[in-house]
Amino acid sequence: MSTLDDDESGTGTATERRRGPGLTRRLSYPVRRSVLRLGTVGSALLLGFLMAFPLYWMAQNAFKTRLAINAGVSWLPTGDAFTLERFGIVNNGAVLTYITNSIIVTIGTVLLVVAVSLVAGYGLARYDFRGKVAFARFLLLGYLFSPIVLALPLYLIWDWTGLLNTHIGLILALSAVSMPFAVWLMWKYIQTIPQAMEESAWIAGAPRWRGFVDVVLPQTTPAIIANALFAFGLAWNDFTFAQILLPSNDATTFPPGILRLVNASFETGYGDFMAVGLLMTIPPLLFAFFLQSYLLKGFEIRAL
Amino acid sequence: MVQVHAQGLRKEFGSLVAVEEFDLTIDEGEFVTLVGPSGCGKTTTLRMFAGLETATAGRLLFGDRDVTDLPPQERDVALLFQDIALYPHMSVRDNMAYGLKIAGYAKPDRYERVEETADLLQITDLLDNRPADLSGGQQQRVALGRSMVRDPALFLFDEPMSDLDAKLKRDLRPLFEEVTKEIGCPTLYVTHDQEEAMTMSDRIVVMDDGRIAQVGGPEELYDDPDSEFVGTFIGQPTMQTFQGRVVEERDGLAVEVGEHRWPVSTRNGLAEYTDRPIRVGVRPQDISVTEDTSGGLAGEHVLDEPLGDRTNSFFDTPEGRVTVVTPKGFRGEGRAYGLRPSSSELRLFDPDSGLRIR
Repeated sequence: MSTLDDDESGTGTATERRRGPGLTRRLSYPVRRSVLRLGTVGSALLLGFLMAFPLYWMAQNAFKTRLAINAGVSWLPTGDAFTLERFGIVNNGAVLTYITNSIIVTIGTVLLVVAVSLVAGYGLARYDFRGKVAFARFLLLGYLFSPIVLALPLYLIWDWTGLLNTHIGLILALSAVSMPFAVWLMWKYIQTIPQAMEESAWIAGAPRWRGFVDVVLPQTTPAIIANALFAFGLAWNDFTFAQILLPSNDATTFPPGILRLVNASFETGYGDFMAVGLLMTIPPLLFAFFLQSYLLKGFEIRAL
Repeated sequence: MVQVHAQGLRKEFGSLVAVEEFDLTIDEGEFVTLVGPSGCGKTTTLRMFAGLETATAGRLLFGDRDVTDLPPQERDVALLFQDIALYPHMSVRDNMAYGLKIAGYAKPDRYERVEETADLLQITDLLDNRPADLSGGQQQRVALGRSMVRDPALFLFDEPMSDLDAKLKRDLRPLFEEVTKEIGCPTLYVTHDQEEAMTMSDRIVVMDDGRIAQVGGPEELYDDPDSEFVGTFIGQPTMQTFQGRVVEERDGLAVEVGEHRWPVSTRNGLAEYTDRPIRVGVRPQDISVTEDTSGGLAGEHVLDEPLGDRTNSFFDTPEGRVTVVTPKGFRGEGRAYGLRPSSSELRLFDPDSGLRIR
């Protein structure tokens, strides 16, 4: 008998059963359905508002003249208040350098993370070695430390090895932060690809690397994309490592760069930072938007 | 086409010996089945033939080519996997052509060979599909096609049908046999299903605990098992075994099971078991059921499994539950019966080693 049945003609015992264990009070189906829908829609709206409002705040300020910003919040910048001149800030040499640095560091981090996680994940999935599980657990320990705890010793090491103020230095640091998750994901993902597929390729005459490229690699696309997205977000938005490992203004990336600019200049206005901030949120949004279906597939692993 | 020889193959995993003293020769065009319970080492043995496991000791020869230490890539074998292992990201056509691609065939040649094979297996209309779109039986046909396009020196099957339903198995069985006969290379087929082994093989290798228990043709193993293990493993329903004693009677030796004695024809080795326990095996087909309870094991009927052409009937006896093959239409109705094994069909085994006493 369906407990969703809402007819009231049931006998006494049936009613008793409906009030059985765990069901202290039962509402009728239409009422429950409306309450559920209200709750779902309501919480989605609330969450959406909380997340979207700062973006909206940034966006509307990016299109306003300085006077209009000082005048306070308006629904949408219209008429005299509307301007595109805020975006002129990208012509500022320093900002352009920051953006270029961000792009280089992000691309480098994504490529390094994807390449290393593939090789390491394959190794973990296909080879047995002493202490493998302990090693894998140890990988995740890295997440227990906050970036600032790691960044200070890194500063000393980077300074000593000459990696300070270099793109490669920051790429290495950011890759190291993304790597535990990326390797773990790739390991679990490759475990879901039956070994027999590779063995079948070997028997067909393919060397091990060829089997990996032809058989394993094409099937790891979702995990590659998930790792790329994760590394992208981390590198693009990183503040702590860039601030500490790229102290020179010429070398640093956008997030610390823009803060230094805010602190240093009286000329550049509030709205200009909003404009360039808006521009900088667009790439990750696009990246995530186009790859989200793959991303979800990447996390559809039973054994994770 | 060549003979395949295995000489003293042995495989250890750490301190565990998975396979030992494995000697076998497979002739050209011969279909040999490796059968045994799970964990008996049959798949490990097959993987040594494929090169996916390296033998700890022993030699493996394909003709006069010593392949013992060759990797799978250089052995020129075909292997059909239990989990089929088609590449999900390639079309059926590209799956089948993969081996040829690795071997360096040009695209038109590859596809031509694939079409020919597909024609033979009647899967031409599936060539453009992805493996995920196919049924289990179709997938196994495609996998078969993929492994045969390259004219292998040895055809290996690793329980290819254990995940398929019974009807599909019966359809695929003759196909596997025809295809391997057509190619004419030696074939080694691994299964845990004795029925598959019986129906498909020229010869059967029964394995137990890493060793070969017996090698022989299907009827040979059925009629003349070397041990209690082989006797009970081969044949449906399972051979019935009893704890018995050898006793001396006026006109020769007899086997005593419970209160009943059955004379046995003189066997050379039996005399030394006189007054000692022994294992007695008899096939359910060789036990007759009579209403007269005096002449055999007293059995109380439990239930019948009608199979159409015959019935499997179960009886509770003082010696335990006994299965008997009874005629079509037999219904025991829970009454008491006498169960009489045909004394010429008794198989006697040593109680300790399980080996046959002949």
